[in-house]
Order: sequence, then structure tokens, then C-alpha cells
Amino acid sequence: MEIKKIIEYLNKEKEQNEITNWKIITITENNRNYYITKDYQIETELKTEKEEHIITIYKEQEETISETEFKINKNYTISQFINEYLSNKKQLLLTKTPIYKLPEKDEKTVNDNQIDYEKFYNREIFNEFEIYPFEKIIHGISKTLKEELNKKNKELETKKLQIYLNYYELFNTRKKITLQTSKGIKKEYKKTYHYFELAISAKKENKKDEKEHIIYEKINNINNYNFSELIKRNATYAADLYYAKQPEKYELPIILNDSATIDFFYSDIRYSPLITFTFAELEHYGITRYRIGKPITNSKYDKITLYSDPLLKDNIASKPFDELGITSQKICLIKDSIFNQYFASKKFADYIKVEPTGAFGTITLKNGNKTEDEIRNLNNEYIEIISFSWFDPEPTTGDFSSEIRLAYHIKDGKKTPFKGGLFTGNIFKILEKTYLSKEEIEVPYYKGPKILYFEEGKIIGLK
Amino acid sequence: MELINDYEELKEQIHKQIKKTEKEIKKELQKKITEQEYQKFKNIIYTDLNIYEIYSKIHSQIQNETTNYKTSDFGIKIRVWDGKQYHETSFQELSINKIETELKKTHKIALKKLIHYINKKDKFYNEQFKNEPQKYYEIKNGITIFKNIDRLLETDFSKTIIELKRDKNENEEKTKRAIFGKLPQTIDEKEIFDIIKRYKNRLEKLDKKIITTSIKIVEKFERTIYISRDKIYEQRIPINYFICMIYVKKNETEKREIYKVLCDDELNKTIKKFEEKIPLIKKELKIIDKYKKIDGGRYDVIISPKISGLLAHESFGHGMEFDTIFRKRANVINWFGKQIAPPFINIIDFPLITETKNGSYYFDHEGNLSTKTYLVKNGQISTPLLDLFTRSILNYPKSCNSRYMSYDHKNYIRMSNTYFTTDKETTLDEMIKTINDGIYVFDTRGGGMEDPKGWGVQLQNCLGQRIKNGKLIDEYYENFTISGYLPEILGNIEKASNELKIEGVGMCGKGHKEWVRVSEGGPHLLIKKLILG
Repeated sequence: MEIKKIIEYLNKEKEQNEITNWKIITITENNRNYYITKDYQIETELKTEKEEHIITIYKEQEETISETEFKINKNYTISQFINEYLSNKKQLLLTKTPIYKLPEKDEKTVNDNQIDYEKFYNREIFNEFEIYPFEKIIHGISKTLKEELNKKNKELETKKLQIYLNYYELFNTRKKITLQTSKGIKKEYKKTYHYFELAISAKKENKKDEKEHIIYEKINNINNYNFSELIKRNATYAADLYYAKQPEKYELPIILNDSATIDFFYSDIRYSPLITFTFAELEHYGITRYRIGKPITNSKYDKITLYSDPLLKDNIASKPFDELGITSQKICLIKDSIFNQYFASKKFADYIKVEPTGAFGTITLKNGNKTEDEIRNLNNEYIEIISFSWFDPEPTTGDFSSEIRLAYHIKDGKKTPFKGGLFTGNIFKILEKTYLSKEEIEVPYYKGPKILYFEEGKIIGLK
Repeated sequence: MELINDYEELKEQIHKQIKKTEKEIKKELQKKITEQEYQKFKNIIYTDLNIYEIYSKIHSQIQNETTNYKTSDFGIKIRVWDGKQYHETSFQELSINKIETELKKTHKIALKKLIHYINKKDKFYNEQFKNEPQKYYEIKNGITIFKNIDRLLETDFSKTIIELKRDKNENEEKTKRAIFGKLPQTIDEKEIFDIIKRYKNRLEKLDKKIITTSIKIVEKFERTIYISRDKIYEQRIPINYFICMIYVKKNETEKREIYKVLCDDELNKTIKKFEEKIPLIKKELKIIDKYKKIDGGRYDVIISPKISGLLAHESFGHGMEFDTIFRKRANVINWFGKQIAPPFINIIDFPLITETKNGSYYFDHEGNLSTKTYLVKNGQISTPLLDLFTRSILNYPKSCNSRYMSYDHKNYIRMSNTYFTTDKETTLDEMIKTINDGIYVFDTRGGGMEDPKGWGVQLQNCLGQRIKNGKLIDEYYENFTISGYLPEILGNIEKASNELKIEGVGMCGKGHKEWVRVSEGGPHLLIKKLILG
């Protein structure tokens, strides 16, 4: 069904004062997903297509605004849409929140002249998605995997250890998001991104016990992604895991590296409370612990300066505007460990009387001054954590207790891998004595120091 | 409530179309290979189609703000098996022309692949079962034990052609047809908001420390239609959720949340369940100032049904999903038939224990009717969770755990309602009396993560109360994690209480994706020397 007809109908309703405003977000998405077996065969190939309109209607009173939202897909006829609309319109009598103003087309916060919309997607993949040679990419990944695993296995020959593939999955997505509002805003952006999941295992000849290492990797641009480096690095982890012991209890400095660094801030399902306490929504409901101008932690070493940057080129987390059309901007949430600025949608910006900030983006953390080597040389004994099962701090306190999938105990230069045990603490407490490396990485959702150092770390052992 | 769309005519049209295109494919196949090869491989190509429809109406209030929104999802998925892999396509256009086009397109690709496999002289996998139908399992003393799985996993499947072992009708012409479940209630939305307001007011009066309360009532309706050459099944599953979040001030900077979620197929039943939780909420409000950090270490522990459910689900159940086993990602390969828990312990997965649990369904997304699976029986590892592909390679007669997150996601083997049961019972009070110094873990604010190969356990953000000299004392702990090595934990189960509560309401991921609704539970369990930290 044509969106023009939906807009015509909604505008008529607006003219008759049945509603005061409307908003339509149209999402068009295609996926081509591949599931590969341990024998490097394609187990399943899945092609999907989807087009949906998410429609929000508003009715303003003096002090309040009612809104309700529903979704239709391209299957809907106009009469089905009207039925859905009328059934949802009744909700406007039942719903009510304090008034906030929808942005106008010519407001400063909506102006996007400075935004380069081309940087959020790969043009070639987007335009040729249906025929893009993903099978060739799969073939390339399989080849790289075989080569790198063979190389690794040659190194491990003397130990009679072998690394082999369990499976991998590659998902490829093309998305187009269009926003139109009754205030005259019409914006659109395109995205392409990928997801790669890989499990490899280490086993010894004639032995039954094996150890697995699994990687979950979001990829911005598959054409310049270094699969070789990813596999090489993780094959080493898999080999180390074979010899990983159960840990004792440790109270030592802790370094987070690789996926553990990113998980500290964002765990796929939600952001850390370090981030969420900056949200205006939580301030409005009285449940944040942050206050503007007050420290978020009592930093004794490197201070925390943290941004949301939704405008990074080729980063999955990038979005040029939010759900009401407010243009995104890089914002400094925390500066030198002092809470600096709220992340605020228009609604909550109006409620707490701050400027709206557009969409949330990549967590960007300012680097420290010490190099990785300098940090590692601070102590002759420390723990370095590579990956967690799931790092998920409790959202109101920041307490965490997370199982370790791979870590190393380093003492006098000797590196001993271990698996299991719990890294426990509180994120605000542990950030008091932190060093952030000078070296930086950028991955989906995170840009910042490659390693994080915490002086006072605690591991609960299994022994 | 009337169904928005009546698909009866469409279902029959689709069924006819599937049979027609499969017949055409067979004719094409017959032209391209020898007669002997045709007789062997004529039933390889297998097609199924799912129509997936879901509506959720979410009514909520926080402070004096009431909101309402509706989400929905609709789509169609076609899968065609070619002897080695599935070719899947999903779309939203609901027309017989589109379906016919996609069926033909996908069949063409599958046929080309099958002919290639046959010309390459790949072996017919199913032949091995002619003389040895139970090559990979046996039944001993009423317990199904799987065997030779390590040998199975060494098979080079790239050189085999597999015929899927689907439920066959006695009469090829007879199609099984059924509609399961029921339509959702029609509830006046003003009444829903009145209920929300009432509970909000009531809860906020319980304690002055309450900052704010958020209450959501979600009316969800899920409809899936499965069509193949043999079956036309439809299931209609209404679920109502009551979700309550209470934010409480502990001190000037610290807040805590109390979170409760219940579900049932009717709203009044869900609300009744929430009423039963109110005394617990009152208790939690009273103790919120008292929570402290636990000293990490080993404890004698009693875990509540909610926590035992999480243990069954996260720490054990994922490792029994045979697609995980097939990928050589599960330690259980070395444990089939072995004792992993005391003989009085069972772990079961059952999608239809009742119709009203969060993990319930009548048939899975491959049209296989729900049955009970003993993952552990009498303490022995028994039957893994299967789908059509894995039961075919095992030559096992049934499966019912193939599920997808949505029509545009792949099917994986997933749990449903997973729980402990026991043949040896005591009461919670008697269990507490036996502990000199331990912890009663009564709730969690978090979840868990699977580790099917390492069998590591992680159940996060737990809440507990100290047991001292056989009594619960006024000492409470928050935000600790249960950890350890699964066989050790299950082996250390000493007692179980005489109850079965399946109250888990959550979403289960395969790793960090592919979310499906599930439930879990069990009795209280007493476990010695459990690691908490």
C-alpha cells in the first residue's frame, strides 16, 4: 500500500482536528544470511525482505499530549490501515503524558545540512544487495579460516594440539529508514552492516576433552574487514584455552582487553549504567545517580571523558537523526569524570529543560597517556581478561559479578591462561583507579582505549 | 475478538501449491537421473511454509504518564530441503501468486543442487538404518540413552544426501489438519488502565522509600500456521503479561529496583498471580536497606524454583540442543547415558506442560506436535532436544523443538518450558533446618549465559538470605553470581522440595541473538558447596 495514501488520510484527520500530529517511520530491510557447518558447507541460506510503517498519532491538549503507536506492513490495504488507525485512535482518550513539542521542519535542531548521509552505508552493497556476491565472501572467509587454522596447527604440532572449526554464521543486512512527520520533516538514511559469529575448538590427538572459543563480531564494512587478523588472534586464544586452568582467588590489578574492553560499556543487550545514568529519561523519573557538575567517580588516576558519537563514518551505531528528526550530534556526556551533559530525546529534553541531542551513537572514550606496554609494566603481577560470558552490571547500582571465559594471570613475565571464576566489583568504584591506554580501537558501538587497567580488581576463584 | 484475517482458503491453496510444485520437481528430477537413482532420491526434496503473525498491545503507566502502543509482525517463510541444506526465503506479501513464485524459485535452486549431489555420487545417508534402525540410541530400563554420537559427528556430511524423517501419514493422500489454541480475550482498554492505576496506587503506598513505579500490561497474540505436503496446522496463543518495576531509594545516591513479571493466557489469571507476589514485594521493600555484598566463596545453598529453573535452562538445557551438539559445541557428547545428578533428579523440557506458560506451544515451527523430553532421567543424561534434521540423522522418531525468533530468522533447536522434577521430596523448612551456615537464594535481577562446551555456570545478580543453625536470619545479600562447573553443581544436589513451580517469564537467546519466549522452574534444591561471588 502506498505511503502517500496513509499520509493523505492522516492529514485529513489532522484538518478535522481528530489528531494534532502524526509521524511515520518506514523501515525497509533485506537480509542474506549464511550458516556454515564444521565441514565448511552451507547448512542454510536465508533471504528475507521486509517493509513496515510505524505510525504514531498525537493529540495535544493544553498541558498534556496523548500518543499511540502501531505498525502496519506493506500487505495492508487502505481499509485495513483505516481500521487499525481507528482502533488506535481510541487510545488517545486513555493515554496522557506531560506536553512536549514535536520539532518543526525549520528548527535549528532539525537542520542537517552538515550531515553527509553517504557515510553510513556501503553504496555498492546497498545498490546491488540482491546480487551482491556474498557467496564469494563466504568462500573467501572459509579459505582464510583454513589457511590461518592450518598455520596455527603447524605451530602447535609439537604439542599435538589442533584447532578446528565448529561453525560460523555471516549475516548481511541492508536497511533504509525514512522519517516523515506532520511538521514537514522528511529524512532518510541507509545502512549496510554485517554480523559474524564463529566458534573454534582446541583439542589434542586421541583425547576427548576440548575447549571452545566463540566470537561474536559486528562488522561495519565487510570489504575492508581483516578476517585473517581476527582468526589468527582468536586461534591463539583457543589454543591457550586448552591449557586454561581453573582460577584461584585473586586481588590484583586487572586489565581488560579485546571483547572484554567493549563489554565493559555495552553488552549487546544493554548499555552499562555508566552510560544509562546520563539519559534524561532517568533524570526525569528520579532514578539516575548523576548530577550535572558532580563527579561520577572519584578518579585518582586517568579521568573519564566519554562521548556519544552518532556520526562516525561506517559505524553500525551511527544514526544521522533520532525518531523525531532531531539531527544527531557528538555530545560530551562525561568530562574528566564530571557529569557534563544529558543524552536527551525531544520528549525528555523538554521535560527536564535541556537541549535535545539526536540519536545515541558510538560510545567514545578519550584515551589515556600511557601506552599498553607502560600499563603492563606497572606491575609484575596482574590479570588480563580477554572475554566474559556476559558482562551485565546491575542497572541501578553498577555492581557486577561476571564469569570469565578467558583470562591470563601474568607474573614475572609468565602468562598462565585460566577460564572460569568471577570478576566482581562495582563499576563506579573500580573506575576510581583506572588507566586508559594511549592506543585506540574502533569497533561497532565503541571507540576508545584498547585496554583498560583497574588497580584494585577482584577475582573469585573456583578452587 | 475476531481474527483479523481468516486464512482457511489460503491455507488450502498453499497446501495444493506445495504438493503441485513438489510433484513437478519430481518429474524434473526423473528426467535428469537414472531410474534407480530416482527411486532412491525421489522424496528428498521437502518443503514447508510458515505464516507468522504476532500482535502486542502494551499499556503502561509510570508516574502520571500513561502510554499505549501496539507492535505487530507478519511474514511468510518458505524452506526447501535439498538433501544437504535448507534454502529459505521470507517475505511479507500475502498472495498466492507471490507464494507460487517463491516456491518455484526456491525449488529450482534446490533441484539443481540435488542433481549435482547425485551426479557427484554422494551416499544416501538413510540406507545405514535399514539394518540398524537404532544405531544411535537405545532404551534401557525406560531411559532413552543416546550412543555413538562421537562417531556420528565424525561423519563427512558433505558426501551424503539425507532424506528428512518427517511424520508420515499412513495414507499419502490424507492431510492432517488441526487448529490448536484459542483467540485472545477482548478486554476493554479503559479497564486495563484502571487496573494499572489501581495497582500503581496500591504499591506506592507500601513504602515511603518508593520513588516511582512502572506497570505494564501486555496483551500478546501469536498465530503460526504450518503447511507442508502432509499437514496444515494452526496454533493461536494468547499471552497476557503483567510487568512491574518499583524504584526504591536506598540513600541519597543509591537506588534499587524490584522487578516482577508474570504471565498467563488470560489477564485475570495473570493478575491473580501478581496478587500472590505482593507479600514478597512487601518483604523486599522492608529489607532493601539491609542488602550487603557477599564474601565470595563456597556455600551450602538452597535455590528457589526460579533459580533452579535458570540452572536447568541456562547451564544445562542449552547444552542439550542437538544443533549445538552437532556443531561439536557441547560437552554432553561424552556424557550420554552417564550419571550427572543424583537418581532422584530429572530435567524435563515440555512445551505443553500447560498452555499458559511463557514457553508453551502446541507444535514447533516444523509442525511437530509438542511432547515431553527427559533431558535427564533418574540423574542420567537421556534425550537431547531435536529438530527434523537432527532426528533424521539419528533416525529418531520424534522432535518438537525447532523454533525461530520470527519468520525472517532461521529455525534453531530451542527450549520451551524447562524444569527440574524430583522423585524424592522434602519441604523447604526441613531443608533449611539441615543447614548450619548457608544461603537461601530466593530471586535474581539478572539472567544467565550458556556454556555448552565448558559447562561453566553463570546466574547473575542474585538475591539471598543467610541461613544459620537451621534458621533464616536477618542478613541479606544482593547482586552476586552463582558460578561453577555444571557436573559438580548437579552432583552436589542433596535434596529437593515437594513442589513444582514453573514461573519463569523470560526470553532466551542463542548466544546474544535469536530471542524466543521460554519458561523454567522446578522445586527448591539444596546444593552443597556452591560458588557464590
